[in-house]
Amino acid sequence: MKVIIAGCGRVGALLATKFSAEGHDVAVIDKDPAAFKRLGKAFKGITVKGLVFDRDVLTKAGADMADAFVAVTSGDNSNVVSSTIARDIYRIPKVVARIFDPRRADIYRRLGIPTISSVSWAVNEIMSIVMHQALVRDTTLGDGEVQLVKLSVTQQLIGRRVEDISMPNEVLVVAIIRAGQSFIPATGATFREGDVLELAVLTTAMPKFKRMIGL
Amino acid sequence: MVVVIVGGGKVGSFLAQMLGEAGHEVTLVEFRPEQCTRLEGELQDNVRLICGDGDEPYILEDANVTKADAIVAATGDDEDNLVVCLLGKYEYKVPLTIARINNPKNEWLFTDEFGVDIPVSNTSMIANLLEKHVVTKQ
Repeated sequence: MKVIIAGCGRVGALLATKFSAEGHDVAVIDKDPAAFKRLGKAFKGITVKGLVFDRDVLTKAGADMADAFVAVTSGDNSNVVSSTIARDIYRIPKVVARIFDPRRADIYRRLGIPTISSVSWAVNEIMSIVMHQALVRDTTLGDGEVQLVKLSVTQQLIGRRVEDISMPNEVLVVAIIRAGQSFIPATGATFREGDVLELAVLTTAMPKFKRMIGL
Repeated sequence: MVVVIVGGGKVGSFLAQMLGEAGHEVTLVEFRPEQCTRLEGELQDNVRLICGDGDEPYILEDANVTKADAIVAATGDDEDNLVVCLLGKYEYKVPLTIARINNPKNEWLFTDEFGVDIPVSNTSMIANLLEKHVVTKQ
């Protein structure tokens, strides 16, 4: 595949070296030739100095023949302009633009420019890490002797079986929610990454259960 | 007429003043803080000044872009002018977009693709005039 990477910052340089290592034909564009130092010695592609929306520069980088165009300069506007040219004028089949400003990213997405908003992505990731709780109580039964809880499968539970965390009279795996669908597991069923378990736990056994699953 | 001008350099600020004096409702958007301070002292009351990035949707909305009859992209950076027109035309449906071309090499980009109705290039204008002058002389 012939890939053009506009912008040789951290993201651009890492993408370029990865594509190059996988045997793809890579051209990297940057207005500052010092940026190409980030590519290291293993990089086998070509480098083109100049503006990412300059016709001569794009031609030199092989835009006429490219299969993919990635716009990752530090300027949102340069990324929008170059990716629009790549898509509409050079008709490059796969075009992606990185846009910092989340609002502009939404607008460009609506205008048909495939957009990665690194700011939104980082914010969502951080939110989910900060807010995430592996164990959430759904409801209690009777006078609270038994509670129903949701458990997101932790790294150490992946590959373990249902009976590994079940305890007679204390813990019962009621259901597994996998890829958005729930089912009642048979004995021997194993947990996979991304599974959410619905469990019935005796309230007095809760501390023991938490210790057992490493929480 | 309601006009939004992005870029408060010589071109943008002079244009804003002219249109303001002619009775139009003009908002001028300027990004550079020093230039903004200078404009605050220079501009008459008939021009509204907003200090901020004219490529940011919330700044454009603050500048009344949704009610604008025309938007003028007059910054010194061609990619910024293109994005002003792109947002103005396709996101905010401004009827008329005018863009300044700084580098004649970028002239091919100032088309409908980026929502530019009227591109203005000083260099091309002077070149055309000279060419006509030469032809007349011959």
